[in-house]
Amino acid sequence: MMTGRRLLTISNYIPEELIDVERFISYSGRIRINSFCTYVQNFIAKTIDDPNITGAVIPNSCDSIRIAYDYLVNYTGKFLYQLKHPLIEGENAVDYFSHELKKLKGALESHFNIALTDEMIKERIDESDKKMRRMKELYDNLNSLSYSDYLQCVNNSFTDTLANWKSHLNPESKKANTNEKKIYIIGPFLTDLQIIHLIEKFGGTIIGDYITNSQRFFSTALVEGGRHDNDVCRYIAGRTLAKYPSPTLNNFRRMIDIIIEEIRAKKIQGVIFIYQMFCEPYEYVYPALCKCIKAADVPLLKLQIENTMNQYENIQTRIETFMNCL
Amino acid sequence: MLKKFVSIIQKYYSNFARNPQAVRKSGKPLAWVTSFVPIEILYALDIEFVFPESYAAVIAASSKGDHYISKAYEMNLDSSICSYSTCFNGSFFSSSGPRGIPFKPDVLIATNNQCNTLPGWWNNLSLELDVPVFVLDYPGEEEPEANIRDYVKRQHRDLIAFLEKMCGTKLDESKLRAGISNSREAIGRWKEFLDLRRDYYISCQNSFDYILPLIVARCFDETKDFYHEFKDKLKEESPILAGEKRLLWHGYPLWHHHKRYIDKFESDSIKIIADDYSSWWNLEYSGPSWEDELAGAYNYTYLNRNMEFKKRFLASLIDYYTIDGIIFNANKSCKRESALVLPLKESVKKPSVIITSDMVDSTVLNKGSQNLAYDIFGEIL
Repeated sequence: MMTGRRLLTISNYIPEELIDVERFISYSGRIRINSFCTYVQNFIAKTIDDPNITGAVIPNSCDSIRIAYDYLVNYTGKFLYQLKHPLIEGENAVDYFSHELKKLKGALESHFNIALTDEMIKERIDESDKKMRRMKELYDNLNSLSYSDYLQCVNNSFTDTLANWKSHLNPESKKANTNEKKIYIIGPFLTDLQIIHLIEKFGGTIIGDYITNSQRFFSTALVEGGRHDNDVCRYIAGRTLAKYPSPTLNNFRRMIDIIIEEIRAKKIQGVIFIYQMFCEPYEYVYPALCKCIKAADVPLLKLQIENTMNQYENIQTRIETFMNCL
Repeated sequence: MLKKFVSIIQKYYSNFARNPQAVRKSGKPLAWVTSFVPIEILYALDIEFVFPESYAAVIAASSKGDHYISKAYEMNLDSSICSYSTCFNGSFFSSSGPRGIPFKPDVLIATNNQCNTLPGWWNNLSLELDVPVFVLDYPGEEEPEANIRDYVKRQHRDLIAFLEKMCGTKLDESKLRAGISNSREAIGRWKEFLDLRRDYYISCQNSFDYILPLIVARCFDETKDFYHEFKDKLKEESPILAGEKRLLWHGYPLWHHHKRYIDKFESDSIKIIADDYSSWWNLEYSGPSWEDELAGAYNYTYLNRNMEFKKRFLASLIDYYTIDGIIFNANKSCKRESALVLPLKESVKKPSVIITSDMVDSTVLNKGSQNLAYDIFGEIL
């Protein structure tokens, strides 16, 4: 649908059912802003620097990403669109978001001189459903997969068109090892597979997560609901907002309840909370989450990432120590 | 004038106690709110309110900010987040503060029309205190405007229904209109005061301190009355400016500093005569109904506006006050302000300097680089 146009984005709120967008994975750029999320700084830098990137669709989820839009408007002439999604839940939020998606659709059609028909969008909804069901199927079988392999496949699918998802979501199987410790990870979009490799290297097997590019992404596949055949944007708005909440959606209670229920059901032995330095949404949810995980009698490790090369010695030591203590 | 100010502040602090076991006298429901919550709705429902952010500023002004920030670290709040939240949580959850601590709320209400940080902080408080939280989402500028107005007005109606149910009372519409009218009048008088600063030297410390009633009590009768007297009184005490270099302070005050800003930049011939922070509460209540007035006022707060608006606003301040130079305060705690300092600086055609600091955490301000900035900037001017 968007062949020849590479639009970069950074959030689950930009629905793949509407357009092909390339999820930002990593880049080490020249933008440096004090006390500011390095992941978003690198997103800004890639949007400006990479000549193959046509533009960006940017949400308003957190302060850093809200600023990214204003910043980019100032420093690049590429196509930029700020998709304002609601930071609350409920019918009012769905109505509002469906208006916003229609505006995004109109902006894309106008800027790129294309037509995004309802039929095309319905086909994409079907394709996205299949992709999410496949992710769910893999997730439910994490016992027999390498999590790092699973996440690599998922990340590859996020940087390709929706039509190509089948070529990516085929991780290799592994033999289940009952001696490995059952680990659950929590965090934002996880691009850094070195952390996962370290957890696996020190005897952990990740069998559950609450991260942007895994369970939180495909959680819509778990939600039953009718199709709004007459209003595809409203349908997409509803299912996007029905995904498991990120901390930016202002429902910490629901997020924590989902996590604790899964940790108990899977008899998890250790939880690793991974967060980006200067990421306030995750910082604010951490104290209550920490209390609830400890109340469930599960050890917890808080791991800060900075997207810098020299962080690994420290991270390796912390993961090794934590795994040894389980 | 000072009597009225003290009276407003004393009334506000009646919802604080030095003894955490103390019992509130009023018996009315209490809300903890962020700075840009439509408090006129609470006023019309007879719900009292306190502002934790404002209290963090008061704690910092009493030189206790760093102490309570360190307390928050022990409660798993990291140093990288907003220091209003670490300072306030550190004080509240250790049951001490320069004016005691606020009573536990019945409800928490947060908005994102200044930043997305506050709803996160309020969610955190909600879980820590086991108190319900209500978040209002204000999208800011958009076309067509009707979509936003509808979205915001529905949220205001939802808030009213939620609070009516909680309190068991009905909204008094005539009181709501009176509250909006009071807010509009208080803001009108405050704007007249800000206009005066073009011709009279009224320090930033005065504007940073005397804006407090506009933040915590803007919809009350007595606040409007206070600001009627305020500008005339300050005018009497303030020398007329003539032939001096005129600077603008951009960004948050330094609440931990005895002057609330770095007065080293001032001399006999150089004065910081204006700031942008004092305009942030200049809410515009306009529209055919109270619903439109509230939707417009709280969706279009200065901090919720886009970069182009902020550039235009800064240019208008430079023009109105005939500014010769600007001090940009890149406040570590406020990402929405600090990250945009560079593009804003690049947009002005006047000498300017950036200092890095924090509104509450005094350890962020680098005295060495501040002195260097002061020396270089003084020479340029």
